Amino acid sequence: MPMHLSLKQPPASPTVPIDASSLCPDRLAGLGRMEVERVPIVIGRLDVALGELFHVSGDDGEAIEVEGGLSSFARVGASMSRGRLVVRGAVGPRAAAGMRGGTFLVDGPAGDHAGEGMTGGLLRIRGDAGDHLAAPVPGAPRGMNRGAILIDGSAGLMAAARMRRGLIAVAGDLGEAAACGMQAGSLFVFGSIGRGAGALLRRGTILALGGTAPLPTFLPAGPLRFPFLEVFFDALESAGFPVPAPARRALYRRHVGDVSGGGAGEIFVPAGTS
Amino acid sequence: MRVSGTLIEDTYAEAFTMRVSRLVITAGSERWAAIAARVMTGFATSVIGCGCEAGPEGPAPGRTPDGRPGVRVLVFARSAADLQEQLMRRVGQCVMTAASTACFDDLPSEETVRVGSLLRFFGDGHQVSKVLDAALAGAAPAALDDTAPPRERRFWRIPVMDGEFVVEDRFGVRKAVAGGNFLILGRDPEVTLAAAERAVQAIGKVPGVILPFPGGIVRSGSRVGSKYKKLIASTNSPYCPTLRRLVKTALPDDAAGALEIVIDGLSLEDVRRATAAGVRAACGDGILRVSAGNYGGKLGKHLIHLRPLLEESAG
Repeated sequence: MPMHLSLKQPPASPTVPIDASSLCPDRLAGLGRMEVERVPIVIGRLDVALGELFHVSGDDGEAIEVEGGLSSFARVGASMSRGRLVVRGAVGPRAAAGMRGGTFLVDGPAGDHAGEGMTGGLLRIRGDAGDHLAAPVPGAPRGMNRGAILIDGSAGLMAAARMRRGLIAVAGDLGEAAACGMQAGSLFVFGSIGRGAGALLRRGTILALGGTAPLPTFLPAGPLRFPFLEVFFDALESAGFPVPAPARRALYRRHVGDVSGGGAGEIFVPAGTS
Repeated sequence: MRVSGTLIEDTYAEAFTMRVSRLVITAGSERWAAIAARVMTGFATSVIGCGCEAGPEGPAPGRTPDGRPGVRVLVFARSAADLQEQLMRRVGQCVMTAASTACFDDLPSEETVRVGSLLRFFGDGHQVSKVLDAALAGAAPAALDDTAPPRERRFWRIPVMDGEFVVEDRFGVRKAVAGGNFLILGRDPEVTLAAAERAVQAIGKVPGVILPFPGGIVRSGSRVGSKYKKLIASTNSPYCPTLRRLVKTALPDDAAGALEIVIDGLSLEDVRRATAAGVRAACGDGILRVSAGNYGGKLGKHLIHLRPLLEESAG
């Protein structure tokens, strides 16, 4: 039976950060209920037993379901490498930071830095995500490096910075300066993308179904149909992430850049339908 | 044993193990997918002289990786290295050159050979690689009917004059069964050919198999060995009507000759299923016997006994 955690009482807006990285299959799998209740959650400088914050039931820590708004809990699912984690509600900053495998479903919005330094697995956020989605770990030369992030809502500024590999799909809009310094990978946005997308892009693919204004350092070509996009759209739909019909019918104009740095990345913007 | 009046000889076909890759060729229309598949599988009747055996596999895939019309193709060779060589040449020369096509792996496997990763250099540095992460690749159509663990899938986008040629980086390779066969012995050449054509049509509905010879039919069946030391195979003299008095013949007095159906398949079960369907379709008026080619168990380890097979498939 999957492990079920139910938040006893939403904490008052904390003045100290809550590190909930122990809410993760890697940490809880194989533990009995009593042991799970003793797993520490770090609030400021204090270790607080998980059992003080959550009602615990079930015994299979490979599949964890958490009930309750965790918007003040940081690093939920951090370093997750296997299993399945579902949060029925919001999660705070740095959810799925360093995620390496498994599936993490957030049935609500996520805070800033979701998927920071991610290197594998599937992160699905059924609400909006904050700024710095899939950001690099501070100081790291590379951002997201493998894995997939699917956002049913919109996301904020600076998403996919220095992204190296993997796929990010956003059903809504994306803020400014997306995919800044992107090195490779794919960023599919079915809404629009704010200004400055792909600045310093080396390689990689950005698709903005709702449009974006590519920087002058991107050179347009097309319009054309690109069969490889269908492969990715199919994979998204097979994973239960809907792809709008216009994305499949569209002819795309391909803007190659950022040529200011010799980059060979691309931004796809619809140029009509065929 | 008789089927629709035709005698089924108490003998067996002898098939052997080869390596196979399965491709899906897609294009802007069914016509162009079929053209590419036909050209790619040309001159691929026998490993003896062609390096591989290949053919379009029916029926058509329900859904292709890029959602466009497509044709499945099976390519058989003696080894993974031979398969890589053949795929690189055939995909490069016959699929990439065909208007609007793309080419995908359709046989997830631990063992793979390089195809796109060799052809990409045609892009002269403008080729682009796209990777479908393992987190999503498991949900992609090619892997849906398989239990293989999801693996990362890399595609190469090679710029060509009508846009981009998309080809998968690596193609899966598995052991397979080739050389399944049966012989149709008829009263006259026209009736024999018509029976062979019925068999080809019936086998065309069986998934997982190909008939690598022209129109699915072989008229120059071979046997192992030759009087000439350089040759490993020579004409199947016992079934040649013009040699009836010169060699020990396998043709009954009233037979005008024989035609052979050769079947390669993903598994022994696929070849058996196709053999049963083909034999049943071939039997009928004017067809005296159905036999099979074997080499006394010296060539391959897969033996397909005709009578038990037909008894099982009738049940």
